[in-house]
Amino acid sequence: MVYRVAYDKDAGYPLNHLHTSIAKAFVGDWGIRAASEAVQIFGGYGFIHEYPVERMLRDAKLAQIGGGTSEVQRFIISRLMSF
Amino acid sequence: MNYDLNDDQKAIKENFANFCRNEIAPRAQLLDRAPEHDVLKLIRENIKKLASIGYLGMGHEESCGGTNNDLISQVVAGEEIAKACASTFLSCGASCGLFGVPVKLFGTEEQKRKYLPGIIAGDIIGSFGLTEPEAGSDAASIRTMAVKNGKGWVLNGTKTFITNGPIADVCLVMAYNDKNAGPGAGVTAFVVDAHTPGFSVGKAFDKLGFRGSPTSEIILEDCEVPQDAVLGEVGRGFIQAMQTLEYGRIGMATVALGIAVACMDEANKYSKDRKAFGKPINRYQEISFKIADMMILTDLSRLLIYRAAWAKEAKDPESAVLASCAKLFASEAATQISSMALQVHGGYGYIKDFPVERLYRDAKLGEIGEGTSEIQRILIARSILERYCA
Ligand SMILES: Cc1cc2nc3c(=O)[nH]c(=O)nc-3n(C[C@H](O)[C@H](O)[C@H](O)COP(=O)(O)OP(=O)(O)OC[C@H]3O[C@@H](n4cnc5c(N)ncnc54)[C@H](O)[C@@H]3O)c2cc1C
Repeated sequence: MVYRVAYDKDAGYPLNHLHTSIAKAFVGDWGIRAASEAVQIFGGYGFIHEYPVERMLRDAKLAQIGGGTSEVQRFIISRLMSF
Repeated sequence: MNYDLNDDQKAIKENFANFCRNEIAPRAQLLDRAPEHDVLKLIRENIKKLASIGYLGMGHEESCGGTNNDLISQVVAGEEIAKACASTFLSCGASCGLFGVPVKLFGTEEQKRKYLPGIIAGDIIGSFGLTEPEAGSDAASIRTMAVKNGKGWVLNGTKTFITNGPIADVCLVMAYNDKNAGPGAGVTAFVVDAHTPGFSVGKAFDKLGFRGSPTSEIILEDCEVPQDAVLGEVGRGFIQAMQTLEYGRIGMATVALGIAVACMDEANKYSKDRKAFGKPINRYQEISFKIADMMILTDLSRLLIYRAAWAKEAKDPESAVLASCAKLFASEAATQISSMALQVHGGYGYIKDFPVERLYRDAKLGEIGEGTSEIQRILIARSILERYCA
């Protein structure tokens, strides 16, 4: 999805809001799920500073917020789809 | 890397969309509700209709009457068929895919000539017999046996859940010819004509969904087949079946995608017209966010399927695991999407007057057929773990 946004851009297509919002919403939400699962796999060690997964979980949260929150992406997608 | 359909693929999409809208979609509800006897007749007609516009030959060589299209083109056409009627897609796929593909890939010239033109024309219907009552996910534990006699082979065993069982003219039967050699070398695939003495078909199962695609047991009792019924070589049957399932998984992912797209269409139409508290319900965020989630999941399913199809065409060694990823994701997405779409319809989604009720029932098969979601996760995990242990 992210590659497709880059592809659209390289191909010189006009900005495709559907493609960008889908990528942003899904990858943003997925990142924190993946990070949370990674911490879970590490168990207690996942919760301490020695291992990078703890930082990844904190960092992942930003992707749901920055650049238009996950909610705003869904708002854009639904508006493009149904109105 | 390219994310655009080419001109051919765009034309295929439009052609199939038009054809299916006029010829297939209007019959989907009929097929879903018809009594068994009528289902058998209606589904044969649908297969014939799709043969008439060349669908069953898309994956086959020109020498057999096919058009040798790339896999992405097949997925593009398949999405339109599945969107119109998932049962029709499944029965066509079992014939030209699960049966036709291994004949194309592993069959002798004579076998190809004997079966493929008929399959492509919709005059012969094929089926694929791997699953047994005691062997589903664990397909290597099949019990059907093939014993060599003077002229050929004698088959004994029972297959179950065979798509097209009740309508098929021919079945690809996987059987052990040498149990001690294990699945990798001891299973052989046999092309068995349905009128062979000792070959019988059980009653069609009464199913939750895909009611328009008949499924049954196949019973083999001292069923004698000639030597040239062996598909390709003796001992290769399990590997042939697994390679076939890689295509089958792309197919099952495609049917899930078609169902998801149909659900999204229905939810969009309904939520635009239905009013509550003085506004169309799609003005409420609880509804419109469901629509957004459906769109995200559908779009990602399609990208994963194209990616898997593309990798398969490019003979990428990752293609098998990508097919599992696409199948797993698209099928789980479809069950979620069908549930959201039904929810958008409220009580009306629960009654048979609205197509979403059928779509909801049909969606579930994606997580079961061609290897369950659990089996896909096992396969995907194994491939990743191997990479890290290497
Ligand atoms: C409508 C329909 C059409 C079909 N068409 C065909 C066809 O044309 N040809 C054909 O050969 N087959 C066909 N099948 C069979 C289908 O492929 C099998 O149903 C499927 O592979 C699952 O096997 P099973 O039903 O025996 O379930 P089981 O293997 O008994 O599985 C039961 C449950 O246990 C889980 N499970 C099993 N093993 C493991 C494990 N190791 N780890 C974790 N979980 C596990 C499964 O995921 C599942 O949830 C069809 C089935 C249906 C319903």
